[in-house]
Amino acid sequence: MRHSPRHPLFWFCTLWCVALGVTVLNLGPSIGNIGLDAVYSIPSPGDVQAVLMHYSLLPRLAMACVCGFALGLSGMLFQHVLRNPLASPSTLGVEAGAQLALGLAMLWFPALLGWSRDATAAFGGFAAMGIVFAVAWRFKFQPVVVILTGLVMGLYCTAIVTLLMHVNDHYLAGLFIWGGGSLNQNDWRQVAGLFPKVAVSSVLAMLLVRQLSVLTLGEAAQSLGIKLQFVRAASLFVAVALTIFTVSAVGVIGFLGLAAPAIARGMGARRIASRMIIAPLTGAALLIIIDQLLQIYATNTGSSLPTGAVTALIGVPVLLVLMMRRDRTLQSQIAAGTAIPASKRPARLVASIAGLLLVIALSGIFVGRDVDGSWVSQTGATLELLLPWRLPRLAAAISAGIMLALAGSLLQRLTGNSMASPEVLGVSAGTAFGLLCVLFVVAEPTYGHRLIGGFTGAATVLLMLFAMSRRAQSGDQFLVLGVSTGAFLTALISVVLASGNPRALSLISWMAGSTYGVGSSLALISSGFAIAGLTAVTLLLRPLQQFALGEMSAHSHGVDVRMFRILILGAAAMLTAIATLIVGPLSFVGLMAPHMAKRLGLTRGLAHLLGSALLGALLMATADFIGRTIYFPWQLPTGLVATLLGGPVFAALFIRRSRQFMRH
Amino acid sequence: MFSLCRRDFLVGSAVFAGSLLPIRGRTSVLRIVSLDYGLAQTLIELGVPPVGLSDTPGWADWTVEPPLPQGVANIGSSHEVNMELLQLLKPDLIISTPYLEWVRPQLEQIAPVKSFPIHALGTSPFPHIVAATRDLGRMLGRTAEAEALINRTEGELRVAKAATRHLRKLAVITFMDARNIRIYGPGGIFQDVFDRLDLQNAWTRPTNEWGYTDAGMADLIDIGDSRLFYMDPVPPDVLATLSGSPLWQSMPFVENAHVQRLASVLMFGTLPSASRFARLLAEATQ
Repeated sequence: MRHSPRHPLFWFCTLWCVALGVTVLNLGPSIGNIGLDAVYSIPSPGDVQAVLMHYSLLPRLAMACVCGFALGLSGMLFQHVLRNPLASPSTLGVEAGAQLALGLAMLWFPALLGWSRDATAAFGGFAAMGIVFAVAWRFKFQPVVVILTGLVMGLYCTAIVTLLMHVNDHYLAGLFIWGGGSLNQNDWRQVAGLFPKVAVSSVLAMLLVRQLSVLTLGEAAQSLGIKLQFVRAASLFVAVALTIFTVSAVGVIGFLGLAAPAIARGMGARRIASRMIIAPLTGAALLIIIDQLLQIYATNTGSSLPTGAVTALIGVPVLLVLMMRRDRTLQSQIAAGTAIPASKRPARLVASIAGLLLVIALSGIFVGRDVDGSWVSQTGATLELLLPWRLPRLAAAISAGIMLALAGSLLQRLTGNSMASPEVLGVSAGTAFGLLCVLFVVAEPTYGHRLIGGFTGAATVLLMLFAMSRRAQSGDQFLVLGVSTGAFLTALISVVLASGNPRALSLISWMAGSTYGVGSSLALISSGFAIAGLTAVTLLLRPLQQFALGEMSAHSHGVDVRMFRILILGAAAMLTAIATLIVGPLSFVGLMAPHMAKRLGLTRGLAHLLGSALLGALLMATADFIGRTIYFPWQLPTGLVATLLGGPVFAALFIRRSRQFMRH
Repeated sequence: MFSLCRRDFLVGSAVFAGSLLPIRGRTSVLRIVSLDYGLAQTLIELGVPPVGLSDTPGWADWTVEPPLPQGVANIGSSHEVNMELLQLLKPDLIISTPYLEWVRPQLEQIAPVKSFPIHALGTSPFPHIVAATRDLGRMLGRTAEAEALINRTEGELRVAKAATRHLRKLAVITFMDARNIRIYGPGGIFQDVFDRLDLQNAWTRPTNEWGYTDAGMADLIDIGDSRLFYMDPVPPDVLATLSGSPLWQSMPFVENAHVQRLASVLMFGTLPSASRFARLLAEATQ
């Protein structure tokens, strides 16, 4: 370690000593009562304490150990193979896929759960990963594409889960706990089932070590061609399997798979062989510490928190500290995306998107459903009665789409990173966090309270980005820190949600991106900001163009780089906060719209900015119309519908363009 | 307090309008939309069923009693009422809970809104439920029906008290999955019914302001050999998993066959839910 001369083993042993200490603290008194012998022998049914120790506390300890090991190893494999410290089961969509499968089964195929809960979850996880792999394969497993697709996949699955909860909130309470990762055990069966699977996968992983060390040579090994790709895919498969086994047994313990390998690296474990051992054991120690502490907490306060969500709460700050200290090693190697041929007639393309937007907006105004559920085109007095409900939400949705798309393309240009967007940088999550605070501090929050809370949250993340802009030299670091912040806040929210407080349920509806609470004043404000944002960005086009070419270029063209950076960040955060308050933090239109514009051929300058904004607006307007009418009288939240609509389009554009590109 | 006065004024005008209606004939009963299952229960019992209610398909699963009359329009999710449909229903009055306070401005564009605080007030909900019942009765000109409902509930609780006198300690839970449960205590109507039936809750750890807490299966060892009731709905794989669990099998209440299934009762319900819960307990102990 650069700042510390100590041997990696020192830190490693310290960690395990803490784990052991906490375990003794939690289990010690009980073991003292029943005697050490009782721990090993099968207890008599009457001996309550011994039964509890033997069938609940010890299996839980073992489960924490096995799961921590599996996730640490899984994350290590992911990060190593993809050569990306951002890679983890959570950032690749595997966990969200498993969660989605479980939710679907719970609602429509309960027999599947009765048959095998594990297999159901595994099916979802492998399906999600399969899709990510399918896209990644076309791009020869380029790190940036894999992570981008994985993130989109994860957000997509989370969006559907949220949507299911939105329309069936009573039924899915179990999914909250499961999503939060509960390590509770009733016997040894789950541990006994999980252990061999993890053991076999670990052996497979060890066998791949030699191949993996060839991979560390990087581009030099490219000549191995097919074999290289095969080994990568095989390693990833093992990593996915490890995640799935864990996730289907105990739920999402997300950040562990990202944090454990990073911490192992932070301890100074450099060589792949030593990391293969230290990362999983670090994961195991971490999970034991957290889980035992939570048990002590539950005994003292009577409220049990889901381990998996708390893991993320603790794992993220550790990661942040490590990254601040060791920024050079952790600088990710995200490469620029593939070049895309520009459209020859950008103006015509922009005009046709605008025309489409107009058509959708008009149907959004006139078409609806009657009391009996039939489709009607309302006119006259009825329309006049309904317009106060339709117009504000349509206007707000369109404005939010414009603002998110603008914020996304600003951030992408500023950081020079194709994955930067308000959702990925954690600005949206900051807004969510602020709102959450308001919901719990103010008994009956008014819209003003919510607005202030959301703004404060977004501003806090913005301040963090400011502080970082002094320290961080590369755009990639923004991304890593942003993803971590977002994950932290999301985990905090899921802890609150998992506590089952019905008050948090109203947060779900907002998280899902419902435009339910939008009134005409808010619609006016957001439209104003959308127009102002559009104007400002158009005026800033020249310096932005310079910035996109690189900071040096911008500097040489007389742009005050630092001031400009702060200005753009401020504008982006402002746009995000207002838009997020309307459509929730999950829409990720800010990520999709600029990409879509680019993939359609609007690659440069004003055409790209306008195209992004219009596509964002189009997505949101369509989502608003569909959400309002398709599942009448239930209203599907606009933000989520936008995600669900945009996801496939996004993927299709990605794949289609890459094919064309490869043919050239 | 100004807002409160204004609210009272609005409701007052609705009541005024309501008191005029019966003169014009039976067909023009006050059109009320309820955004809450519990308040809808009371409305039905008072003989003024709502014209619209959120999530009507879920009623049969969660509330059950009283049966929902035909023709109640489904106005969508309880968190997100379909405003367009609400507008088309042309209600005279919307009744709601404080959790929908943030959409009150929108709702008030359609009809006067009356909100009844019942849960999470830091006290047991039962007195608030009784107060809400009386309020509703006064507002709808159905004071006699309201008093009758309160008396009927008290009567049913008395009958149940006699029937459950052999029941010593008990605990009521809902299964989240095979390893996690929700257990009920002070702050919810189940505890209120326990108190009125002189039953002792075997779960003594603190609960949240809504009257329940989430716990692990192993925590149930604390309740010893008390009676355990688990409430519908039970997730599909839970019972099969439990039957193979040594921990579950060695719980004193399982060994002594003191575990029983209970049909679903609305946790956030009003007087009909309290009677239903008491009656189900009485039937289960027969």
